[in-house]
This record gives sequence, C-alpha cells and structure tokens, in this order.
Amino acid sequence: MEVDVYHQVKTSVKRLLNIDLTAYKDEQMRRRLDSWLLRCGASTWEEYNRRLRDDPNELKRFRDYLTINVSEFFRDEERWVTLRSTVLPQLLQTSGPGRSLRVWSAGCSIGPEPYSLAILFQEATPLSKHYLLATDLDRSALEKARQRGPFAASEVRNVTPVQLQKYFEPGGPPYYVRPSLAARVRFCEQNMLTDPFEAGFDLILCRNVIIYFTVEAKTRLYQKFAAALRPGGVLFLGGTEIIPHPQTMGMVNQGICFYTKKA
Amino acid sequence: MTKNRIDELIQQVGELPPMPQAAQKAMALIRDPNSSMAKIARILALDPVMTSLVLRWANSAYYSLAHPIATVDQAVVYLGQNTIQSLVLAASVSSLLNRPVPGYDLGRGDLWKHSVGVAAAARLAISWRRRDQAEEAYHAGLLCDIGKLAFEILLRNMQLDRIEAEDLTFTEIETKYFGVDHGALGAELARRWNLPEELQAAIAHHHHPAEAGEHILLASAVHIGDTILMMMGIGIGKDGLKYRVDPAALEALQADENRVLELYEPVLKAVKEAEVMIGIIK
Repeated sequence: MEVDVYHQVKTSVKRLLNIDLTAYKDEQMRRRLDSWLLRCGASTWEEYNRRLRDDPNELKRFRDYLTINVSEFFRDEERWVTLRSTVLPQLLQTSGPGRSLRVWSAGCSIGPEPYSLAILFQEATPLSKHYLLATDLDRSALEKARQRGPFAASEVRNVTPVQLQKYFEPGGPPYYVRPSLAARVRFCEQNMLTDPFEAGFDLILCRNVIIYFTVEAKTRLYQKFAAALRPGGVLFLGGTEIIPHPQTMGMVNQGICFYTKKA
Repeated sequence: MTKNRIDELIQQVGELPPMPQAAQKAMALIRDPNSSMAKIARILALDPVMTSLVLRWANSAYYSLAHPIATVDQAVVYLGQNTIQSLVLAASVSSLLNRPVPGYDLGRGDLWKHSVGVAAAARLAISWRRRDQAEEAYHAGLLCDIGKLAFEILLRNMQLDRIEAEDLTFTEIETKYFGVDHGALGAELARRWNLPEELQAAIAHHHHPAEAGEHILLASAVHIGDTILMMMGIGIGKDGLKYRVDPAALEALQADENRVLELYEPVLKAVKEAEVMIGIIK
C-alpha cells in the first residue's frame, strides 16, 4: 500500500471506527491492510472503503481484524503456571495483609484473559475476593466478553476438563462461562492511549495487545502501566514483548514476561 | 508404619523445645470448665513472668489507658476473659512459634503471625455452630502448624522437582517424601505434650478436615482459618498456595463464601494485635 493511500486509510479508520492508526507501526499496519484487502477480494482501498460504508457487517469484520481479537484461555500455559506458583504468592505477601488484590486485564478482547484470571483466583485463592478489571477499545469484543461467550473448543484447549465442568455451562462447544464466574469481572471500554488509568494495581496483564504499536506508543504505555502499579506490583506481558530498559521506568525484569515495579 | 516413621522423623530433627511448664498449667486451667477467670488470675499472679506479661499488655500503647492497671485481677476485669486467654496461650507458645522457619521460607515472626491469625479465625468460625468450643478452636489454630517446626529442618536443603511441585499439594509432597504431612507430625508433638485428643485430631487433619471424624467441626474451623490467612498473604512460604480447600469444611460449619469474607476484618485486627503482643513478650 502506498504511503499516501495509507494516510487516507488512517483518516477513514479514525472517522469510521475511532481507532487511531498513528499509534501503530506504519510498515506492519500497511502490510496487514494489504493482506486484508487481498483476503476480502478488494483490489483497491477505495473499493473496500465503499464496501465499508455500505455494509455494517463488513465494518464490524474490519474492526475485529484491526483490533486483533485472537485470544484463548491460559494463553502460554507455562507463564500462567509461573503466575500461579511464583507471582501470585509474592503479590499476596507484599500487598499488605488482608488487602484484596487489584488486577487489570488491559486489552481483554472477547474475555478469555480476564476469565482465565477469575478461574486462577478461584482456584489459588478461594474464600477471598479480588478486584478484577478488564478493558478493551473494541465495543463488540467487550459485548461478547460480557455475554460470557461463545468460545470455540480451540479457545479453551488449555482449560482442564475439571475446570471446563466447573466454570463453563454444560453443553459446549461452543462454551459459555458460568454467570457466577463472569460476575467476578468488571468490563469497561477504554482507549489505552488516550484514557486515564486507574491506579494502585497489584497486577496488570497486557498481553499481545501492543505488539503492533510504535516504539513511542509502547514506551508511553509502559510508563503509564508502571505508574498504575503499586510498588512491588507486576506487569505481565506477551511472550514476544520485552521492555528494553525496564530500570528507566522503575521496573525489574522477573523471568520471561514478568516485570516488577521497584518497591 | 506411620507411627514408626513419625518417631524416626522426630528423632532425625532432634530435640524439639518442650512446652513451657507455666504454659501447660495455664492451658489446662483455661480448658477446665470448672475453673473461673478469678482462679486463672490467681494462678497467673503467682507466676512473675505471666504477671508481668499480662500487666504490660494491659498497659501497652495498644489500649492507651488513662489510668494504669496494677494487678492481674484488674487486668482480667479490664481485658476480659477472651483476651487474657489468648494472651496466655499465645505467650506460652511464642518461644516456639516466633522463630524463623527457613525450611518453609518463613522469616522470624511469619509463623507466629500466621498462627495467631489462624487461631483468631478458627475461634470466630467455630462460633457459628458451637460457641462453647471457641477456646479449643483458638488453641488448635495456634498450634496447627507446629509440625512445620519439625519438618522444616528436612526441607531446608531439599530441591523440589518443579513439575511435581506444580501438580501436587504441599501436604501430598510432604507425604511423598516423608511418609506423613506436617499435620500428622504436629499431632504427635501435641500428644507428647499431653494436649487433649480433640486438639491432636484438629492439628492432624487441618488440611483435610473431612477425615477428622467426630472432631470435624474443630478441624474445619482451623482449616478455614489456615486458608484465609494464606489468602491474606500471611505465612506464605515455600508451600506457596499449594493447598486445597476442603468443601466439607464449609459444609460442616454451615457457612458460605460470604460468611468467610466477613472474617477478614476481625482476623486482620487480631494479627495486628499479635504483632504488638510479640513485642511485649520478648
């Protein structure tokens, strides 16, 4: 896609979907758009743009594609084991006795991440109640999350049979999370780049959400996350996301994917 | 077989500190339904260590009284039976519990705070069903992890297999390596200290209360107490969060999750009190 066309796309996307593409890496986003046009059988952006204006369903598909709604329960299983066996005990110990945890799933998409958290907490810290916030930019994804599903068999492949029985309604696939589990999560619409963050979090998850962001946007976000964590709080990133100089933001790397804010 | 194994283990870890004499006497008195608080006060007054402890506690900044309390009798009236009992019990085992437990990655004071918290929670939890067992529950809660003191020496240099550590509960790991868990070992210590059978049973089964037979209520109260202290992050060590909650405990206590959540605030207060208390005992 030519640069001048991409400029038009940015303007249209901002107007149609209120998504700011300037925060994403140009090169990658252009490649993504090209392959999308190809998949949709549109030869030019102009042609596709007309289709977007006429067909709300196409607009929704496009939005889903841009906001990268790929998600599964307990994505990168091994990291979730570390979260449960190492990070969580540490967070409970340092959060101040008796204080319940404040946890945020940033960029929660259609809900597997916050629901995985709810399952984890239910199992590792039963008989306690934590604050579980889940936010996303994408209203339609949030809508699906709030409706507790449906989730395909492939999305729940890391869920054990026992968990499936306990936390999901019978009769899947597709699967729906039980209302009692869903009630533990608070979903909110939020634009991470422009909206203010809540503060005092013990744990923030932002996994595979900001990989397409520009370096500047990433740095700004990491700083915002660091500010939103309490001292000793932990940021849990995606497998390929690495903070280049965590110490400049008052953070320390703690094994793959985890960053702890210095106390 | 298990009995021999326990003997062997206790031998391996060497001499465990005996229960202090004054403590044993005070505990027996507190458990005796025929003994009045006045009688307990008289006995305490005879023991200079206990007297000074009770008076220091009553006059501590924690209560910030306008007029100092001069006698044990006054202190008993002012502090009330529950507080005096808790204080005496806690003081009597403080020498055991306020030590570092490196085998479980617990620093000095961790096990102490945890135990006092479990005790307070167990007392509240059992009161839902049986108010008359409140003191036993406090007592059992206080001592439930005493077996860890014996185990920890063996655990100090042990590298746990990672996969295993993830799949098994910690009591299962203990059983796998040593043949018994810290509950069973604690119960044996309690037996050697001549503590009553119901306490032995509650200590033995505090991680699996359904197996406590006629003492299920007491074991359940301790189980719930132990669980919420872990959830509070108090006393989490090498064993992390690797325990399971037995649904039978909630059933036995006829409680639900919301009822348990109500325990957090008073238990937290008890833990804070315990921190002050240990400063006075030292």
